[in-house]
Amino acid sequence: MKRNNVEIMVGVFLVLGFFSFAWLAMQLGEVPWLTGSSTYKVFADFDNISGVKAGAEVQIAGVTVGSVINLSLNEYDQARAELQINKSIKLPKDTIASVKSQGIIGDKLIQLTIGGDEEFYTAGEVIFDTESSVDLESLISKFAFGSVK
Amino acid sequence: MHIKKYCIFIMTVLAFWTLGLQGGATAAPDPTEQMKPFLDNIITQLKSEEFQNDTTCNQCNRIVELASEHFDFREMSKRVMGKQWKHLTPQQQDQFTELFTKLLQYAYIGQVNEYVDKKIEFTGQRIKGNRAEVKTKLMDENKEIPVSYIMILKGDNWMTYDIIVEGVSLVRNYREQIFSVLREEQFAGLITLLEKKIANLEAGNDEG
Repeated sequence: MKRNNVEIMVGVFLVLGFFSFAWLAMQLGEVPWLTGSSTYKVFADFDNISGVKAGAEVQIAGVTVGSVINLSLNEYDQARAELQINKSIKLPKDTIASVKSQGIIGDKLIQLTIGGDEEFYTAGEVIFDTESSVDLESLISKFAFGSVK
Repeated sequence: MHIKKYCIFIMTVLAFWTLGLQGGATAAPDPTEQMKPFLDNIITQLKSEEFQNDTTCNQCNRIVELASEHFDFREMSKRVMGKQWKHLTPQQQDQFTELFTKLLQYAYIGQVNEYVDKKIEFTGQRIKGNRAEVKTKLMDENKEIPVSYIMILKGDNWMTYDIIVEGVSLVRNYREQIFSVLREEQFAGLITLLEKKIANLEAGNDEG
């Protein structure tokens, strides 16, 4: 009888240990459908997003508030960036997403300029107002070689 | 008796269905179709001798009058102001809209003559809900400048609230500048600054 009690205790301990391990894994791994994610996803369409890679930062006033998780093409053959944004950040409907670079030759990032609209973008919506990467080479060629007159 | 009831029911359903179809067809006008005659009209007016010989002040007023058919300067001002817009009284909003429109008209009047000889080519559009982008190219023999008009549907009219030239947004450009002025000098300071700038532009001793 005594031996049985010990075995039950060990069993309970083992099961508890297993559950705590599973809980820890879920907390660290951020399983959205179990724990409720701390981020949400929005999309942004650009004419040209060259230089931005998956993993690039999303910033507001220089502060990182999320990252680019995927790049694809939309139905108009534009670049569609999937942005993962911290849940604490609310984006009004007149937010402008621009492709910027850190310094002159630094990494490309997405900069959000927040507006003042009363409505906010919800998860899965597409940011309409965007500015694409400025193609420096074509700008230089336009103004350096453009005018013949 | 029953047959009559059925007939009435079917006819009512059909009537609603056709009404719905018509409603759907007229609900969203095509933004490019609205922009084409609008821009053509502006260019023709700008080319006219009457306009060319007019005073700068009259030219400015004429352009704003023509543009306001498809340009929503209030929406533009609201977006440029950002969060601060909600904290302004309606009088302050009107005052800012008026000054900002004036700033735009004087800043760009000098460039109007450059655009008169250029050809506008429409290269595409995209619509999402009540917003649309019409893409154009301003072309002459040796240059092509991409210009996009970002519009919002108000009633039956697509109204432009932002222009993107070479990938640079007019609203974002002014929004960032105005944010920093507001932070340092509040609304009163911004108004004084705009008035000063407009007076300078009016006098013709500031290039923009």
